Amino acid sequence: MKNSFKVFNIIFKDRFYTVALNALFQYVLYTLFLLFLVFFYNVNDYLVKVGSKVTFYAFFKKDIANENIVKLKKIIENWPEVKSVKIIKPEEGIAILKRSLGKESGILNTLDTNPLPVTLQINIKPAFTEKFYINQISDRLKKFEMIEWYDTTEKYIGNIISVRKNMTNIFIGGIALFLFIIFLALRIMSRGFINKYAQSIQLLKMLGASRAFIVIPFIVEGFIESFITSLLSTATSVYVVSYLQSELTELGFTILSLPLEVYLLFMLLVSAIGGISNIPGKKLL
Amino acid sequence: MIRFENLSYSYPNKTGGLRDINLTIEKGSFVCIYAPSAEFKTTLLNLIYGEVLPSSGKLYVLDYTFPEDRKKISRLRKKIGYAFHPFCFFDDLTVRKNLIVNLLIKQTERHLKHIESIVDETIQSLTKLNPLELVKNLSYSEKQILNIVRALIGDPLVLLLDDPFKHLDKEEIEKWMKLFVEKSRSGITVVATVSNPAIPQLYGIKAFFMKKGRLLEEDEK
Repeated sequence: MKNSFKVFNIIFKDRFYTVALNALFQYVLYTLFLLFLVFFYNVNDYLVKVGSKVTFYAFFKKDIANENIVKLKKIIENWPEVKSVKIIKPEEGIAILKRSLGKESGILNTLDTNPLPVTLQINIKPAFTEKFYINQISDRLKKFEMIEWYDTTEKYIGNIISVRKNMTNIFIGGIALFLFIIFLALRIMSRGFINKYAQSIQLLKMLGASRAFIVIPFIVEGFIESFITSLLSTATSVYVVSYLQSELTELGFTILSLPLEVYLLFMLLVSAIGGISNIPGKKLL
Repeated sequence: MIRFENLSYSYPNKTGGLRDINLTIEKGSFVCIYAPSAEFKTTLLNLIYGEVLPSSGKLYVLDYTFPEDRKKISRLRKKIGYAFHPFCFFDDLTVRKNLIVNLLIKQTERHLKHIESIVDETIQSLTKLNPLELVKNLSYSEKQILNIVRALIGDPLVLLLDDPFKHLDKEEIEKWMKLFVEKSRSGITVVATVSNPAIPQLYGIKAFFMKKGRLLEEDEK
């Protein structure tokens, strides 16, 4: 097979500009793709964090004995959906309220007595944040007579949880579509370039070159070209993310970089796409 | 050995073709086929080279049978030297590079330096061509010589020569004919098509005449 590379270098030696143009095109495509990936990764991370923090607040009736409160806490702690349970005493509750109101907390000073009851803060495990489990927990809480009423953050973030699910589907579809577009674009572009060499390929066949003899150097060239451009795109994307990280941290935002294995998988995948899309069309072979 | 067995070939969108060809060419023999133009002489060589496949009948070339072995054509071609008509060259490459490419395809030899030395030696011993001249700048007769040299280089088992003496002067024809006879004596099977019937007669070579797609022996003409 070494001979096929030698022949390739002799016959197709004037490919520098076409290869460079193709590489530039790939660089732009891959960089856009990676930035799209970073954007979604961060949106998804935000939604996961928010969506996984479902908390119930169960407010006790007045004058419930402390030992009964502790007993109920232990029962709820044993529920499979529950991550942790905390008792919030009225004075703690008012302190929390003051903190959350900030400058406007002065209004609470006008109160003669603390109106807040003893409260149970029930944190739900991230795996049980869907509507079905939330309803189950709600039904169970309703049965306890010592609980006056309860509230859950799920009703505020329920939409986020369902959006996140749809987002994941849209994202997977988006990646597949993007990769397919990359493949098609590269195929059309590479074939356009390769068709210029139709006569040379026909002549190689006439002289006895097999299909593999002709095709393998094209595949290797496409693979290397895509690997190098994907490496450059990865470097660009990492640079853009680190730049945004330094700029946005001052504004209170955090931006995450993609995990290393995502970059490696991306490079491997697009290199393979580059190699395959560089195969001359069937008509030429 | 090459054997045509009741072989016919017809062009998809054309009238005419080869009809009922039965011919055996033994290893090391030299056979000439002559006919005026448009009598499918090239088609006969293209069949041996696997460029076209028989419409019916069988063709045996070395260890291959056609049409069955159609997927092994590139392997067969490595064993055949073919002087094409019309010429098929990489016009933007030099004489030397055209021959190097041919050898790289046909041989498993991996050392480029060795291949280059074979090419340089061949050009020097057989021709007066400038190895560094681009093929597009060569005259017709120079191209014909390069065509023949390319077919000869790489020790083929079969030599197919399609009108190899076109554009060549008498002296050149004599030189190459002597070489082809030598090659056939050394065991290479040579099949040549010619437009001039005097050439096989002059060198005492077995000749066949093609008429309306049929192959006739000299006395059937």
